[in-house]
Formats: sequence, structure tokens, C-alpha cells
Amino acid sequence: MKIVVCGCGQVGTKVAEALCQQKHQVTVIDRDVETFRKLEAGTSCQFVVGDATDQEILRKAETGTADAFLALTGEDNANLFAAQVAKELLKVRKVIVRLADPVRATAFAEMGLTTICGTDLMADLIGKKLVGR
Amino acid sequence: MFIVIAGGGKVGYSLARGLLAEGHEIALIEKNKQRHQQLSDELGESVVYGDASDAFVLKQAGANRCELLVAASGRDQDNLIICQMAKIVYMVPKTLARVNDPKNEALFNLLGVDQTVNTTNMISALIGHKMGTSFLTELMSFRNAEIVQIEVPEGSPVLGKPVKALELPRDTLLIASIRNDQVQILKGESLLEAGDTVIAFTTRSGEEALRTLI
Repeated sequence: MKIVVCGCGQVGTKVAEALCQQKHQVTVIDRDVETFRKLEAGTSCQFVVGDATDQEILRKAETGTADAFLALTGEDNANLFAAQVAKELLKVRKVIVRLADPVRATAFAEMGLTTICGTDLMADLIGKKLVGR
Repeated sequence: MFIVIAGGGKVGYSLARGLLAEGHEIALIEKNKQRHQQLSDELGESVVYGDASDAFVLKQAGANRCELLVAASGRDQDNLIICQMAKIVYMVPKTLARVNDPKNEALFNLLGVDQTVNTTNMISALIGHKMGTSFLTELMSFRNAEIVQIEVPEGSPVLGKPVKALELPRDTLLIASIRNDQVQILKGESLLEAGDTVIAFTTRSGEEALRTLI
């Protein structure tokens, strides 16, 4: 699959590396060129430097021909913005959005976006660990 | 009318002051603590501290009972999500967003923002107009329709012809002309002169055709 990953922080880096290992064709977008150094040496990722909320940058990463688009930056609104450009304008079939705010995650899931809320997952896990031990 | 404004920068602040002066009730949301303090000192309790894309902050500002929400920040991603949250969570009847990057205007309309104000295009059009290099200026836009102002140049092919004989683009109406501060509503028989300012209603594609015609 051809996959575009927005954000090369801790989450983005880990996801991009795993996808590369599974032989997917991965393009990573980040504003800061320095962040690409975090990716393992020899990884097959392509890089695009720029702001994922700029439609030109998304086109430069050839998002329109991607099978999947992952919005994984640490900023909820940037993720929601980029994901909606990918889904509604560039017609990417599979779009996944990382969010911190549970309310935004629920609201946009109702609008048809696939959202993953780190806060909800973490709270859930903490609760389970607490009861389990 | 009760209006919520998101973003207390120069645009949001001056809008808030204007609306208060006209007797409207407003809530102004600002996420920078220092700026929030400054604004509260002047505008009092109508200034709310927080991130306007957070549903809790929107509610504190009264988004659940406002008639209009204006997203006036300098960041398009925030303006879009603020308007969408206002619609999805609080069913705000009308949202208006400032668009900073002209490329995003169509996206905002597609994603349900009711009205957009493309500040970058407006400013560049106005500068072009003041410099005298541009004879067509957009005054207002709605979706893909717009109201424009055109200065009829010397030697224009429209001179000496009645309005009804002009081959105007589709969905275009010449509304009025201003000559030496005298306003004249344009009718089929009206004649245009060089130096007239014409106000016209048109569409995005009609604008291009109008530039060629006049």
C-alpha cells in the first residue's frame, strides 16, 4: 500500500518505521527537517518537508494517489484539517486521525472520520491495570 | 444578536468592539493568557479564556445559545475546526470563518462553514486597487458568487453601447454606476463612460469574462 504519514514525532516515527518494515511505500510529512533523523537509518521512507495543513504540501506528498492517510501530529486541529483535505478533496479511501481531545474525537467520528483518541485509550488502560493488579 | 467570536487578535478585537458599539451581545474567546488579560481589562466579562476548538470553552462562551459564531484567528486549521465543532456539538445556526490561505476557501465551504471571508485576497485586491493597477476589485463574496467594483477604463469596448447590448457573461448583472459621486441604477438603455465605477454581481467564472469585456 501507498501510505502518507503526517507528523514525525514519537507516534509518527514508530508507525512509519513499522509500515516500512512491512514493505509499504511510506511518505512522511513534517515541518521540521531535523525530525527525519529520528527514523532508523536505511528506512525506505520518502520525506516531504512542510506544513501538513498546506494543501500544496499534501499534494506534493502525492496524497491523491495514496491508499491510506494517517494524521499523527501532536496537534488536534492540524490533524483534523489535513485528514479532511485528504478525505474530501483528495478522495483518499482510508483516513485515520490521531486526537488528544475526546470530545473532538467523538464529534468527528460522528461525521464519518476514523479517529483514535490517545487520552481515552490511556485512561482506559490505566483503569484496567489498576483493577488487574 | 448574540455573537461568539473566536480569536482576540487585531481582527477579532476590532470586530468585537464594533459589534458592542452596535448594541450586540458578544463573547470573545482568546487562548493566550496575557492577551486575554489585556482584552478583559478593556471589554470586561465578555472575554473568555481558552481554546475555542475545545467544546467546554465554547460552552462557557455561550456557543449553545448564540446565533452566529465567527472564527477570526490567523490559523486556518483552527478556524475550520472551531466552526465545525460549533456546528456539530452546539448546532450553531450560522458560522463564519476568516480564511487566511486563499486555497482554503473552497474547502471551508465544502466542509460546512456557512460563510467565509478571505482576508488575504481582500487585502491584496484592495492594495491593487489603491495602486491603480487593478480595475476590478472584489467587494464581497458568497460561495462562488461575488459583488465586484469595476473602473471603466479609457478606450474600453463597452463605451457608447447601451448595457443591454453588452455580451455579459452568464449570471452577471451590472447593478449601478457611480459617476462624480452620483449613483445611477443601471438599466438596459444606460450608457457607460470612461472613469465610471460600476458595481456588478457575478460569479467566479463570470469575473474573468468581465475583465475581458470591460
